[in-house]
Amino acid sequence: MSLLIQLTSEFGDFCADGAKAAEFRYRVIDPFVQMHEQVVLDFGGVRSMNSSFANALIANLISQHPEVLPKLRFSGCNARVRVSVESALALGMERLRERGTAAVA
Amino acid sequence: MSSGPNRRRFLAITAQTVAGVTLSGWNSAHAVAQDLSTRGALTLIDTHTHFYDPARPQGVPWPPRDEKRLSRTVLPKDYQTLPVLRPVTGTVSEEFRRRDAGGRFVELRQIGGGGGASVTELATEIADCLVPDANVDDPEESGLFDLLQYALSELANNVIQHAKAPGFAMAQYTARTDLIRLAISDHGIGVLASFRENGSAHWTPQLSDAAAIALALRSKVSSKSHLTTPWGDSVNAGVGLTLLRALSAATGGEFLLASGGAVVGFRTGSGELRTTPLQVGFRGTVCAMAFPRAKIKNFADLLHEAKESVGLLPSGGDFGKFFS
Repeated sequence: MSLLIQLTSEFGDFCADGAKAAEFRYRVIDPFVQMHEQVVLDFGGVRSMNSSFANALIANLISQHPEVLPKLRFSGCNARVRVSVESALALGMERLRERGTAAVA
Repeated sequence: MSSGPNRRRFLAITAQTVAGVTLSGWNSAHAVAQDLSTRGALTLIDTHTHFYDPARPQGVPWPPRDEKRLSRTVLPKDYQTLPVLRPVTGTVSEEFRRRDAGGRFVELRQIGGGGGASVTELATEIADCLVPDANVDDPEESGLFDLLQYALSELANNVIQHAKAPGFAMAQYTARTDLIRLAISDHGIGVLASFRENGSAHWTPQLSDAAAIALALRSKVSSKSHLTTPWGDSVNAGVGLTLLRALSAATGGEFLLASGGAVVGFRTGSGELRTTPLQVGFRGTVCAMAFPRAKIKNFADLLHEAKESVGLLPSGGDFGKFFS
């Protein structure tokens, strides 16, 4: 069973507020990570996203819930959004490596 | 004895005028004013006058026609015939008309401090204003719009997270230099105090303003990177300013960060940071950037280059399995 999160319905076409991303992650994603086989963040309709938002949503999700990494997927990303997603993935995985968390391997 | 105004003489005149108004009515005040004018006791300059003629063919933006008290011809000759204002010997006319912005400017709006503009709205409004013809559906045409939206939103996030005081943003395009300039300033605690007040491991009593700014520009360093939110997250990844500096460099632009007693920045063609001591310290923080408009094409490529240059995007990293 997949957990599908559509970002545009909550944030419109520009995801920019890091504080709102952190609150959203805590409220809408964190409680449901364990009970789903796949977690899909759908960026369809999102034109752009800054690093504050991407790191608060994705890097922190990975560092707080290492178990999400094997089931995390992204859909609907344009080239701009994808750069920030990849950077946030890299940051989250780097934090896990620094902590020696096995999920990265 | 000097015949010029002094404090005692000013208070006496003021008291006499106030007494004229409150005790004997407007005519007495007028008489006092005329008397003062005749004696040359005061030279009064009215610094706020409105001149307009509602009867002119194209009308006037203000006052509204249905405002009967104000909607009348008020030109200098009419102003001078007002008997009660006869003692006023001069005026400074305001060359200002508030009209519809028509997309040419965005009113100054507060960032943070409660009730301020949302990060998203602020960045989008200013980007819309500066690049009104951006084709947002074509990544090759919307690069400048995307860059402005990105930079302004990151700077606004910084004000909200660090300053402990409101900030303001401005941006401007000048055709002569083909430069887009933007700046965000706050009157908050400044960069050095942010390291100290947040108990950062980077802070030492010897840390200077210039050194604190240089630290803030380093990748993954923030005065709050060791703190966590109530949800256990890192408050700040410490990459915002690092990336903005890298984006400026990637476009051949300029970048400047000023706080306390130092300015740190670089100009086009020089990747080296240059520190300049400020003669007069600034308590808050100012960040300013400039981008040559003609050099900005595809923002995704630009952002990719900037992130790689500061080690935020490992080259050769394989993330393909995460995307569908």
